[in-house]
Amino acid sequence: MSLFSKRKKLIVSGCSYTDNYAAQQSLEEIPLWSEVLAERLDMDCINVGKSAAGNKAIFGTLTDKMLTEKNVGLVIPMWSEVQRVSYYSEKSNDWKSWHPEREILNADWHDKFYEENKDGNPHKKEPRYHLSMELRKNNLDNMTSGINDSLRLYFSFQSICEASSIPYLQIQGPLPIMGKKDNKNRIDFCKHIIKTPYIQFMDDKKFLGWPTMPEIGGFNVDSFLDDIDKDRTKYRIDDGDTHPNAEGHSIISDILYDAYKKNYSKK
Amino acid sequence: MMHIKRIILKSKLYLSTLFVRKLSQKEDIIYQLNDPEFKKLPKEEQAKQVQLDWKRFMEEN
Repeated sequence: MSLFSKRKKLIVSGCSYTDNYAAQQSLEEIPLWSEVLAERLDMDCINVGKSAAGNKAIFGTLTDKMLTEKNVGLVIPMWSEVQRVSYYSEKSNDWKSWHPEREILNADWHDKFYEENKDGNPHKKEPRYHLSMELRKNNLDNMTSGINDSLRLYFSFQSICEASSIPYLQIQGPLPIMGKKDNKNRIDFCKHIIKTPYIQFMDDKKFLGWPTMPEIGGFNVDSFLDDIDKDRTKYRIDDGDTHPNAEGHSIISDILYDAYKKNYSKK
Repeated sequence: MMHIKRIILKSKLYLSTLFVRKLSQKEDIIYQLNDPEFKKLPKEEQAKQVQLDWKRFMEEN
């Protein structure tokens, strides 16, 4: 992007579905949905997404950027899992995010490698593990509070953009909760979201797939890709890694491009 | 209006529990990591098995 470019800016944030995940995993580089979309809209792309980011970090990085950049053409958060926690570290000048439940389960899974030395599991010595355990002990990592926090962020983002007349779209990236064998947490998620007042205040023309779960007529990127690629062979990196591949990113850019045209094309 | 919206969403949710979405998942054999058969697998297959075992643990707990 040229320093003197007069093109409008597309600013995006999100988790590994938005960040350059493939490069971080030393996989073949893929054109990201944000880059493809920016090219189609003839805008310059600013991607402040970061792998593992929680919704607070996504909201923070995005609003910080969109309020300081000039000539903003479009802003898009691709939201992540609602239970991830995010803290801004002044020391590293960066956001730190993680999923407490996954952190604990991951550490528990690693126990099998330390059967002879129960205290040797290094995952259980990490500060994140201890913080996650404290959150759990104090019932601060429950799903409903995560949902409420995220709903407030979605609505705040929408309100800021509306008040500042900044063109925007919103979309949910991965499944907003951890995938489990039984569907109980999916149903609980849906039941809770129906109950909240936010259900009536989100602009579903600009929040693609709102209310984010197929069970209640919405979608997220994961469910959208599953609908068109049930065995996950076409649009995912591979069967063990369900991040979108190049074709997956291209499809994501298509749906965002269509939504942009519907919402913002001059009639 | 809001009341109607909630009823519609609750109905959709109820219907979705009758027709549960299922992904066509391959029934992979997952070896225990201390299984002698696991140790005989090529390194790449072992890595895949570890990944499957981790994923299953996350989904079942």
